[in-house]
Amino acid sequence: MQGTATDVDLSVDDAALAATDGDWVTIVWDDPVNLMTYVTYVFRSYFGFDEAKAERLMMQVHTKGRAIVSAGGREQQELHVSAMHGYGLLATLERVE
Amino acid sequence: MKPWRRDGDALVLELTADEATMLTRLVAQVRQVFVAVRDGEADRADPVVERLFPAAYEDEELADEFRRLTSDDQAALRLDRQRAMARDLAAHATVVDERVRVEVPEESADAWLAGIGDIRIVLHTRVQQGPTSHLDLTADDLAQFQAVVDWLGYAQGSLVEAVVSD
Repeated sequence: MQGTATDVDLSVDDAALAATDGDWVTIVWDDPVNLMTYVTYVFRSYFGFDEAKAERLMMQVHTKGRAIVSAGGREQQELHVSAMHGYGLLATLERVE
Repeated sequence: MKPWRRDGDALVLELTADEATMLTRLVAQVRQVFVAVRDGEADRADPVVERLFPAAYEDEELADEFRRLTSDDQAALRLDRQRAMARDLAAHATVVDERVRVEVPEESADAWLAGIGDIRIVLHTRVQQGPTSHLDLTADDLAQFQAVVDWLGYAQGSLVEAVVSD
């Protein structure tokens, strides 16, 4: 992502999110063109995350290369992945092992 | 360009006449990409099309199936966003000193943010490909593309700020 990294808490990791109900997860991947502030905006406006959560997940994408942004049923995650693609983000869904 | 700002229920961008012409042209070009995808006439192997419609699954077969099922709607949605941008650009009122004031209703801000993002992705992907003879793109063209990617990044960033600062 393009932008300047700010100091945010990265303590919530993939595992914590993946442990929620459902067996599929939506993963957003880092890319070299989207702005950090835009990615945070997308997480806020599409998923309705508060600013802190959106920023934390954005930073996870930026620093770790990917973040799980949602977990649940397959159809729902497909909708999320499609929406992320619509915003120009790289996103995939995976079954949780 | 002056950064986006709020003006009542609208978001306002001030451009020079040249900038407005360039942006209008870019919107028209990116629209063509989505029209081609919607009409099933796009070259799926084109890196720009691949980047705009990335794999949803690691498994290639599942990814292809997902694309087959979703790309019509996906292209239509993103085409609508470019149309909204074209409409707002066309409705601009010329102000003093050849500056153009573009007024975007709040409900179109999302279309503009994602639409600018799509234009950046298209240009960025061409830059990443490097000079290509079959597209007739020289190193100079690509340097210009990169400058536009950065300029649009500034536009998108200031729009995010204007949108979240209510």
